Amino acid sequence: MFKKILVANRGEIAQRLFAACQGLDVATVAIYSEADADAPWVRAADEAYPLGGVTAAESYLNQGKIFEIVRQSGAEAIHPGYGFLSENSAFAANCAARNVTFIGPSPEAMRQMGSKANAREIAQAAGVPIIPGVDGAGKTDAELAEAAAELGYPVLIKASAGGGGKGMRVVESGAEFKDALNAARNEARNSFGDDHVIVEKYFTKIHHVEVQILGDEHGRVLHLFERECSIQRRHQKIIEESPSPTIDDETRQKMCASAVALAQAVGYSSAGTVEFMYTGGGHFYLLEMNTRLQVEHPITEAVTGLDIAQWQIRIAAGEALPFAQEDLTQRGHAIECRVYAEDAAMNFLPSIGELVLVQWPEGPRVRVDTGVQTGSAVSTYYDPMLAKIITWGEDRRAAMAAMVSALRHTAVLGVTTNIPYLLDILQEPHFQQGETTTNYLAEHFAGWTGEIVPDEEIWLALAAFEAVHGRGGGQPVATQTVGHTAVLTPWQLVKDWRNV
Amino acid sequence: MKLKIKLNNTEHELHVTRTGEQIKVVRDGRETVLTVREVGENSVTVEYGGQLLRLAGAKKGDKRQMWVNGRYVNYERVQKRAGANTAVAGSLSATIPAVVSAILVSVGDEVSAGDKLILLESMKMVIPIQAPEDGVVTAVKCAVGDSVQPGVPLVLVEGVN
Repeated sequence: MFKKILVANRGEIAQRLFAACQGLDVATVAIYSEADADAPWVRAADEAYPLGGVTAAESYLNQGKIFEIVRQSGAEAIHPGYGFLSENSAFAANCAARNVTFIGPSPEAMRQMGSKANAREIAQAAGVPIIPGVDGAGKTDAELAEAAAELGYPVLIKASAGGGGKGMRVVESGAEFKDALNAARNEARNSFGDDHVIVEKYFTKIHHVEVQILGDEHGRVLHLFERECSIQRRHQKIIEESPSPTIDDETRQKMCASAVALAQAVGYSSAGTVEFMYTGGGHFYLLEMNTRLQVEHPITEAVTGLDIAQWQIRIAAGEALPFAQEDLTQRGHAIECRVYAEDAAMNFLPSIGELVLVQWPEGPRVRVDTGVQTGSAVSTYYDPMLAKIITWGEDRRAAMAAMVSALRHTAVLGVTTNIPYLLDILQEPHFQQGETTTNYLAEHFAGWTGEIVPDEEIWLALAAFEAVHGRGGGQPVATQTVGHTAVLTPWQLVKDWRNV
Repeated sequence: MKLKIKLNNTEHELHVTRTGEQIKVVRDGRETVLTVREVGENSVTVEYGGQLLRLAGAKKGDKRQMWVNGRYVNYERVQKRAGANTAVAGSLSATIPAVVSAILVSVGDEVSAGDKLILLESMKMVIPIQAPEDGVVTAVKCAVGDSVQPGVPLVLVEGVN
């Protein structure tokens, strides 16, 4: 086992990784930007070194500085967390060149899965389902129309060189195909100078379901079951759960087997996630593989009882996984809610400021992963996620009830958070019935304002707050009265003075 | 005290009187008495009829963000308009020589006890002149940049009691 690990990350994930190290009796090294100098997670490590700078490029992406601190601190391994350098295969290779262990997969596996086109090829060879489609290169219009009919409508025509939705056409029926094809080709030619198109099966009801993988360096690859992460805003997950309320056992087995096959195809070690699009009726297709620890890993930890972060470290230290697939079970149900400093009623605009009050829920079935506390500042420099709240229950209903209670016992003041939004989702009937597609928020929460109709409780609370805290701390201002003239005595207001 | 609140763009009025641990709230002619059980830096727990009401709030000027038993409410405290019954007239002055660095109010402004009216600068310090009580500014007798001597009235506030 390593003696000392440097965590090349910040916030809640740094804090969580320090905890994983502490559980293995490994010393920890924090690195921090100027903006994070006062952050509580920095003080959770055994050693802490400043990176300087505030932007990601100046700090958490600054490989030169990070390797300097590795040398200075004597750390033997680097855990990259998620984001920042975690999926940078060049960084992983640089670590190897400096004899520092990168806690994650091999640079080669990262490279292979890092390119979507490459991953698609490997998947196809490994028998992992990919989105059905046909390449239009060298095919006549009639041949493409035939292929589209074979795929089954609706289909999506998109520019091979595409991006940004240009040259994309959704075609609902064969009658529209020829016109749509011409339009897509024209648009592709005008936008990219190339009328090469791809015709793909188009899906309307999509679930994002992903499989957690754990592989060691001795050839064993296991899956830790699936997570459903369909509740997304701006293509970012905000609520995740395990098991998925959507897929059945047979699909689960097939999907998990596919994920293992893909990981095995690239000799994957460490933790990774294979993301699928589930389109109903037992059909699923590969989206991509994330070659890192995922934000939502705690729900898998809750249902499997495994500490994924610790296993990443143990695997990197050369340990073999001591259990087999049949030893693993998915017990009960876990849900994660991501608490963001953002205004869900204002297009999820990040909310910046000082956290005047932070109070997290407690209880035997609640886990809170966070890197902030009362007095912390939410800055514009980094992701405004404040915490992940994870609840576990014997079944989905119990996990949901525990989450509603946990969110109600979470008080964050000073910035606007998405807590009321999360609470409303948790209590919405379609969500409660497990009808969670990637379109769920657009379908059920467009135009959400979060306004509450004040009731008796609100009025009383408001009156109580104003009566107790309404005036600047409740301290009366000291005055002297001279005749009818109240003369202010500045010396008695010393607390409001400031140096200039 | 009369409490005016702006919530969801509508103004509401309550009467709130605190006597020791008791807070009397009157709204729409209905009276409720709350008992203060716990007071934190930003929080309060009150009890009424056996119910515990936990709340916490953050203030930014007159704007409030409040957490009430798991719900969040944003509102604004509307400072009351001065009534006709002015009891005490007061003028405020500096007690040490200083230079006026900012005037934060103008004639006709309603102010609350503790509101900063004028900022004075002296000895590398900023010293605020604050309203001793709720009232209306009736005169401003200085300008930014003026050197002022102790005891010379700078601003007049007619109080409401």
